[in-house]
Amino acid sequence: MQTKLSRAALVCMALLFALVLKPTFLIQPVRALVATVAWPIERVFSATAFEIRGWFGFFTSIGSLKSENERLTEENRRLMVANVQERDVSKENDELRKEIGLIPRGTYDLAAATVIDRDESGLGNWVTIDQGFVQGIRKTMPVIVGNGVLAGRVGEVYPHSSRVMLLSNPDSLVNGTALGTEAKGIVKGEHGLGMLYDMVLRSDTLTAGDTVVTSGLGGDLPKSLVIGTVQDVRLSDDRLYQQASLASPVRFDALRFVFVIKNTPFL
Amino acid sequence: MKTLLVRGAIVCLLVFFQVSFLDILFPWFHVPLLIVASIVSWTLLVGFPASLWITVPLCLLFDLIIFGSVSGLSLYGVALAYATSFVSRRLMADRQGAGAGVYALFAAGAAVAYQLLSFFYVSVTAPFPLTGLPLFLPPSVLLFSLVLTLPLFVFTHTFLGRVENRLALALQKQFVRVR
Repeated sequence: MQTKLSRAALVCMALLFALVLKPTFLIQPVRALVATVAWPIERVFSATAFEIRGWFGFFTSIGSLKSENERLTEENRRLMVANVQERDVSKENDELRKEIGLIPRGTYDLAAATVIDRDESGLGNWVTIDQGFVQGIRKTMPVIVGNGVLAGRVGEVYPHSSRVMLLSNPDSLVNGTALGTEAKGIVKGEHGLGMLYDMVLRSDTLTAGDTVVTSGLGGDLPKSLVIGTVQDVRLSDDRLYQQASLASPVRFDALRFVFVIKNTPFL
Repeated sequence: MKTLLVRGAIVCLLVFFQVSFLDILFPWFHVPLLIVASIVSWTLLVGFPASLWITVPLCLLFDLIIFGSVSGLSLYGVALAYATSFVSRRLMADRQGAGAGVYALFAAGAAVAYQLLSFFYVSVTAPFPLTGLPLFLPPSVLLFSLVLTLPLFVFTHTFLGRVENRLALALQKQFVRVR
């Protein structure tokens, strides 16, 4: 007669077997089916959760509203001045590009999407959005927040939803360049802890506070999408390269609305 | 058949509620609190052998949505179901009143244990953090997990208890009709 313990042990062994073998040919079709069925239910649940979170966030942030308001007013003033200067430069750039026959920069075909579930492991690796194959989403499409802050790339696509691999995913590798010094490197995710700007040549200058953007090298991502700000610079363990931690302007655990770049003119 | 369909629907609902509601509301947790509470509740209600048929699909569905393959949660779920059955037979506590409090604490402890196990697993298997920051699990997160699991256990125990009672009643009626 099978005892409870032997039954539990047998099931555990079977699960361990499945864990080691990882039969993807079985799992993928089932996963696609589950994603298709789950999508409308997840939309309702996630929308409710975001609303409740918004309300809680409002009440808990009341104490810091005054100082936050002052800080934002000051930053707004500074950005307004910078914006005026940038507009002049941009206008001149557009005219020069027209003269030599280049198409305009930064015109993306964007698909707005809402996050409907997230990586539960807390490692900040994935989110699922409510746009999929039917809406024209394809693998490796970049996903941005706001005007041009890169959040990740589309990893898996289902009929009505997609999984987005965030920049903090350890499998994420993005070519980057520092805006101030043009130091080129690779941005790697670190299990949801943050991002590392690695493989920067020692001959290049890397300074704390500089902004790292996509370099456009490789042709898979548009240029100049913001990735993060350099925090601290140090040498790699083998002393061959420089590396630095990057702070992203995106809070990956608070992502709600994102945009998928469907069609990018790479220049 | 009716039992299978009802339980299957509840399993799906629990998983979707966990990934699309609780994980968004409380993104700093690293443990599926509702899944853990449900495993303990269901094992207390239907016993270990029957709960195995519920625990495994529950954990597998969750793993499929989040990880895309079988993960440690499935193994932990089976072990937790067995441990719940073991503890309930030893304690012989009533599932109402003070006894329910004991089982709620057990469920909360199981959630914290899973959180610690996951943390140690990532610390050991993940490559050395390139940011140079040590991996750290704040005690406040553990405490919050413990506190939040208690009402979740009460909710799942009440809800699943009612469902199982109705299913048992429906099965009884069916049996009487056949006779």
